[in-house]
Amino acid sequence: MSLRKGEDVMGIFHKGKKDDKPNPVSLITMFNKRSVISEQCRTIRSNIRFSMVDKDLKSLVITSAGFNEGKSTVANNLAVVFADAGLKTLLVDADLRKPTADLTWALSRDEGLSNLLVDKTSNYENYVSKTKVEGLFVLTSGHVPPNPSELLGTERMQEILQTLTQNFDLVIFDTPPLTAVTDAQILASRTDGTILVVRERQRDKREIMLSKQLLDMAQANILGVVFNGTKASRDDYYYYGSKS
Amino acid sequence: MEEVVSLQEITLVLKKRMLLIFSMMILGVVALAGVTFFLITPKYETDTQLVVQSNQQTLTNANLQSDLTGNVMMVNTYKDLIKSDVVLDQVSLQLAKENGIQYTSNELNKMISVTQSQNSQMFSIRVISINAKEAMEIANKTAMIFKEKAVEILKVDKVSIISPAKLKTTPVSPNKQLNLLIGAVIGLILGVMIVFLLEFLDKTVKDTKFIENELELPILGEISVLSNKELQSSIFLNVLQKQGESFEFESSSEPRITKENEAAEKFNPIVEKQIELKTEDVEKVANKRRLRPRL
Repeated sequence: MSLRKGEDVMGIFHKGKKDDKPNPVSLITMFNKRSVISEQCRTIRSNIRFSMVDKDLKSLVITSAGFNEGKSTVANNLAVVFADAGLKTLLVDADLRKPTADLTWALSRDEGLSNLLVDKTSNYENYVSKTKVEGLFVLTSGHVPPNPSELLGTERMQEILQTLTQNFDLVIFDTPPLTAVTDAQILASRTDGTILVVRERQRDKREIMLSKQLLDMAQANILGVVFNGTKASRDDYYYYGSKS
Repeated sequence: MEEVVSLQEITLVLKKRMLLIFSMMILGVVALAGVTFFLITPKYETDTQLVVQSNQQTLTNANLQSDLTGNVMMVNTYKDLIKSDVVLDQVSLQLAKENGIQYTSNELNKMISVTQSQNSQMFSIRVISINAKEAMEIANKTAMIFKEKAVEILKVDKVSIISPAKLKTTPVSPNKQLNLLIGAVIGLILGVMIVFLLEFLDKTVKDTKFIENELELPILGEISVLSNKELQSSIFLNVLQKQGESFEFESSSEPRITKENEAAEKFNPIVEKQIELKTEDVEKVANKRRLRPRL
């Protein structure tokens, strides 16, 4: 189902980021539940639920057109608010190229999704970690493999996905950028819903359009867009949130 | 693809790039100041006032009105005479001889102007030069030569020099204040133009309008920018580092769906050891990765 080779076509659109080191993302929804952003995340959670009334939403892919748009932040924090709502949630770091979940949750990266994919006899329970957030579990990326797209496209992945969705209420996948590699497309085609994260003034409109086309080609169910990094409308939320 | 830009958006854009506009203004002032003070040679001006008494006055018609008008009109003739080669050649010659100032009659022509106040028989010879003293000498010499030539050629009665040219050492040009103001205005205009150009060339996603109208996807929500303080305090590793393992975070204020709790309990073979990182380990990880959190 690989529409394009998993090679890096970044050069077309961006001149390559200097800072390629992965960093932990903010878990603001966990540490400050009253902050504006936590409130915004809960709004997104509600909207996701509303957009999937007719069908059961068990798996969710969070992706974006390019790097640095806030995929991981959105994925992690959405996982937290979904767990807060009582769903047994699993966050899977499917970004096998630039993983962050291990850093974000202070977990080991040695064992994770890639190991699960390679070792056909292994059980997911050996790799999933419980977190301090009740009902939230994390599956880190595991060792960074040389062929992430191929791994994610295997039958084994399909199996894993099935087992996970059976055992969790919601599985959220944090994925690599769409315009760079095909990983997110593969996952999006196999999951119930896809969310595109777009950061304000970050990417060219063409790239966002292209991302949508890529998802459409993969027959992904695009639930909608999370618009990240806005500055203007922040004050509107202070009424409900607290100024922190 | 017509884009409607509201006044509000324009103000927002300008406000955001205020610094750029402001620095362009300062740049404009500095540039024009440089030109004004270092490149433009200051010019000095002086003038001498004359009046001509015509002897034909008595011969002509007694109509005072037309008489006066005639005299006023005569100033144009004097003006032409002053700027004619007859006078200027002589001025050029005498200046070179007596004052050691070398100007051709053509150059003098450009420096000299004759002005007349409205409906007056008086007129002045004005000289602009890069040298105040030269201006004065040229003005006085021209008046003198004109006096001789007018009597000789136009047969006028008498030419009186009412006030001879004085040495005026304050330059009349450049006008410093005006030039600086011009610099500021040019800078402002240029700055605004650059801002609009940048905005025009910026094809990134600027607002949700694009997503709704062109991408045709629903917006699930917006997330604000995290302040740096918020960011630092919400990085798990940072919290662990600060408080060891016994940190407490705000408990959820949300109602829980009960059946989910049971499900969580059933799920036990989870590797819990991984979360029990020792503080040193956390520090090691953190140092190794040189934490630079992001959103």
